Amino acid sequence: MSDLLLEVTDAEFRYAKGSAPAATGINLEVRAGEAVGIVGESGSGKTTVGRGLVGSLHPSAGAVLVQGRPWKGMRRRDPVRRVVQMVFQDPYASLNPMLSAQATVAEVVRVWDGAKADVATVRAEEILAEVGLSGEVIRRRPAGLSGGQRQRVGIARALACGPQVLVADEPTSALDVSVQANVLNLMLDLRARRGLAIVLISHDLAVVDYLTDRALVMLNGKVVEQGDTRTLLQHPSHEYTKTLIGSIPGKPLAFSP
Amino acid sequence: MTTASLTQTPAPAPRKHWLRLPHWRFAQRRPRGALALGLALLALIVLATIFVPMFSPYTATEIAGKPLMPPSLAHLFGTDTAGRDVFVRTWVGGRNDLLMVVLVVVASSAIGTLVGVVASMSSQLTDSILMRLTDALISFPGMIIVMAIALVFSGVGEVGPFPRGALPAVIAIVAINWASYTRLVRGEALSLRSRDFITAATLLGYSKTRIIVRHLLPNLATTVVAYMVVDAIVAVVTIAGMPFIGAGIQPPAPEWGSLMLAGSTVLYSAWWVTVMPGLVVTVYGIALSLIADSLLAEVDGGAR
Repeated sequence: MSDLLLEVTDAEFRYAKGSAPAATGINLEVRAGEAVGIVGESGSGKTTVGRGLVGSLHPSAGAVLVQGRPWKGMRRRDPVRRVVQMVFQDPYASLNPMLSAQATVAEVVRVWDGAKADVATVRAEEILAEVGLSGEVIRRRPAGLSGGQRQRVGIARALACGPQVLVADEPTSALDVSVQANVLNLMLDLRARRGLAIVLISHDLAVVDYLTDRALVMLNGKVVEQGDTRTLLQHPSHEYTKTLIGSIPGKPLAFSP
Repeated sequence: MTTASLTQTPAPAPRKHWLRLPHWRFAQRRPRGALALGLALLALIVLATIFVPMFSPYTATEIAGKPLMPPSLAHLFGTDTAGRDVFVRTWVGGRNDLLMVVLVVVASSAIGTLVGVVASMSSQLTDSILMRLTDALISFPGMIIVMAIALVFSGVGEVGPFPRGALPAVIAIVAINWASYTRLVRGEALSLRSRDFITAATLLGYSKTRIIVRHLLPNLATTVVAYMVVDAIVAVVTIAGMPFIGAGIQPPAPEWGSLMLAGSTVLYSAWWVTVMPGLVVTVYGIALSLIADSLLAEVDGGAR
């Protein structure tokens, strides 16, 4: 079986029929275990591409294939849906305020594995422990958790259906700097332990440098440059990439948690 | 010091609320205290509607003394134009009113919430059809529809604990009242749908039923319950207003509106016939208002 998990070919994304494309000419391949960064300023189309990757926005032209199959028309409970999951930017809005951390993760286990409540609860505890949450904390609702803990619950929820790709849309931008490092290290750790592929969407070049092997730079809905992350950041060829790098206060780039 | 004062961001002004009555401010500052006070007052009224008719030496329809006797130890709220005890009639009337209010609010909220959630989760066409129907109902003058429906069902007699005229009134009010819940719930549900936790549920392949039951409804509950409490005030005013247009509970069964209507002709000479039931209705309104405001203050605080 091919290790190609996600394949985007000449994709164009629009939010409404007839509206201007939010992203166009997108080509991207994500293979098992690799980490890809998508960088760009606000409005560059990187979140749009992220939404396309997880199937919440269908391309108006071109194709987005997950394990060779298009998102469009895929059944709600198609096993291929498990392959790609998302970690959201805002840990405050991404969790149901009425469900505890444990219930949030257990629900995914119940839905996808058909597990009974007690089995799902135990499995949820294991997954939450894997992201560093255990004890009384997991019985709290989101309002009782810190931003970093919430983001960990979001990651645990994504992990609960056994994905092979995590698409993380600015997963640390709403967090304190110290917490950012913890979450990024957790993602690195998960990548190593589970062999997860990661697509990291971020405006923060230091974060992309720290976490990814390959990066795409987006401007006005188009990919203007892509390649090996370190090479791209050290020897940018496009003017926009140079501007992005030049605008970082306090170089060097390397993220130092 | 200069630097600090220059860089300091001014504290945001407290949010103004359209309802600036003293109890709202109390509810906003001490929501739990307001909730406790509201619940205590409501409990007092509910208990009185249960126990006063049980232990009163008079029934609601018997002639208990001379007509228009002022309040005394024998007749705490005085007597009405026919010599009936206003105290026992107020609480029997209250029981009739509260039973109707519960039925109106529960049925309206159930229908309205269901239609609102379905509209928010449906295709644009279904949503448009349901919402235009709702708009049409809301835009009609409510009392005229209530009168018409109450007249259609006027043949319905006494049913269980409901005296003659009560159920037609309930049906009439529910028939138009659910629409306001639909508007509220659809708006809230659409706002929730744009939240990431609903997107996550969709990406995780959850069914629409699961998303509605586990993720939308629990998050709508506080808003709907707060509105139900406000609606319970509006409903009692509507029910109390029905005798003035010849609908609602039929005499001689008492009801707050008909009690006050009966007293309006002798208001200057025998104020107690109108004022005493009116005071009970006022306390009922304040109790529910305190509960609703404390719930709204919780929602408001939670949102921030």
